[in-house]
Amino acid sequence: MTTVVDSRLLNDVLRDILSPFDLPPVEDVATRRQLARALLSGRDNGFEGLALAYAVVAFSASTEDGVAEVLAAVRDNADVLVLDGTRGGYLLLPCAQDQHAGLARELHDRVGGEVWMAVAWAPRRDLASARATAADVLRIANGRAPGVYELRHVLADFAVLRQPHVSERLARMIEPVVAQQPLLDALRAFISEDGNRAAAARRLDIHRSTLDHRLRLVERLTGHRPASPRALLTLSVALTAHSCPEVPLPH
Amino acid sequence: MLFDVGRLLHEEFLPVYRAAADTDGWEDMAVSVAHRAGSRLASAKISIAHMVMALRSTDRLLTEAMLDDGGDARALAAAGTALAAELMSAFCAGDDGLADAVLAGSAPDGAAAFYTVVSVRGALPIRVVSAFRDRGPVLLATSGHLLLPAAEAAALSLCLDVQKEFGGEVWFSVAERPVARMALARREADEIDALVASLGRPPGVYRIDDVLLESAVMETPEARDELGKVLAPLLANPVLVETVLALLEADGNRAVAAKKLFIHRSTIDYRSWQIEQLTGLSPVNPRDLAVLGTAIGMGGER
Repeated sequence: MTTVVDSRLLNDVLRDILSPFDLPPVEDVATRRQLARALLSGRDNGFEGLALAYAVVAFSASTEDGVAEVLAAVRDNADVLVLDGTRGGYLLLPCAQDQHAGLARELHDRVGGEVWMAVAWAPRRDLASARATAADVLRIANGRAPGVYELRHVLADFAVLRQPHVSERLARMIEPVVAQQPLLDALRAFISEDGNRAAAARRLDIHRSTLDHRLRLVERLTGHRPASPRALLTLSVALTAHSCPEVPLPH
Repeated sequence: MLFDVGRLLHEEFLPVYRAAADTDGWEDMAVSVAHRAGSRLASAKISIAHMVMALRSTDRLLTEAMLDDGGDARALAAAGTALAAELMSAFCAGDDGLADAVLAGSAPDGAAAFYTVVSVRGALPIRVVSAFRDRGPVLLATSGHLLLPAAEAAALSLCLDVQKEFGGEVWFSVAERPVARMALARREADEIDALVASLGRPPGVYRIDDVLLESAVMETPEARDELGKVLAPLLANPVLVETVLALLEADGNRAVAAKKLFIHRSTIDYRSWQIEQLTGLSPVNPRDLAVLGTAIGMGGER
């Protein structure tokens, strides 16, 4: 039933009931949702009134209120299409190339609370792959501070999640660190504080020399020295490879 | 097996020097004689130092003897060089073609259960082989790959020793697999070698772990494209590229990087700000800095 509505039937229905250059009215949430779903699945039937290219924003929030806030922020914009779920969803914002990050940041600034956004840009024909990218970026970003993320911010993690033989190897490498909570906490804090030892020690409420000692143990167990940016990236990606829960996004 | 290496070489090489002293056409003889002697010494597990010593004294004795008989000095020198080169190559190749057979994916009799393939850059494999031979068994394939019948961890420390001994500009890339899957190991070692070279990593010993991220990025089209977009605005600005590399080398320490570039600390901060404006990645964040470095390194690959 849904699939029929998704494709031809929806197209015909829309042609019939709408003036040719308009999207369904904002009140018609269900039809607009179907339209968003069709576009994000790569089924573009050439609806009139659509933009040539979109910023795909995959978002998630720690609470349902957070989701409601995001939806409220775009409610009055008739050009934005929404596919929402209980803990997150997708927004399609008409967008010129290279404007998507700014657009998403602007939106993020308007909502309070813990909200993560992953943004990718694509011409209308490539929205399915932009959606897949945004979903994976969001999944990785959920392990970091709330904010707006592009592929480049989680590039290494993204590539490794797409290459299972690499991610298995990294997960094995980091396993002995994960098995010891104090070491795991020390590494996580060091990563979150962008390699700032003093800040990481403060965050954990431990002495700086204790932190140094734990980081040395991490190096001994993994062969990667946290103070080196490349090695820290490897360790951070290994943590992602070890555990990166799926984000509940609508299908 | 104990025997007199000097005597063996003397007996085998004498006809070649004799031929070189008064006729042409000694070349083929030299190749087959030296090859036979080299393989025999290799299977007798003679140390390379021992063999080199014997080779030197054999060459001196035979050359002097032939010169005394009025032989042509130039031909004798050429024969001596040909014999030495051929002897070394047969000696280092070890059991005739075993390395090639193993790399080709067959597991012939006498092969170990698994090997670590070593890809060598910056030194002649034949010279590297002798350094390894002093420490244990090693095979040299005609492709220039070394095969160590050892697990990666053991091979790694061996490689580090040899790398230190050579000092300077030598890179080893290693990969271990069971003997049945050596083709994979060879491909992996070559891939690591190519990445290490294009990323401009310093001389050393590299495993797949050291270039895992780069190799994952190379295999993921979306990530590769994105890296290209990160890099594009930097390429127009060599000073920013230089800044990223200096920061990476300084482990992200801006004061150290500034000193290295002979610029003021505030200049580094300004450039970092420019880099962030252009790429959306902040050199102050170590993970972003590493991604910037990867983008620059991969730029050489394109």
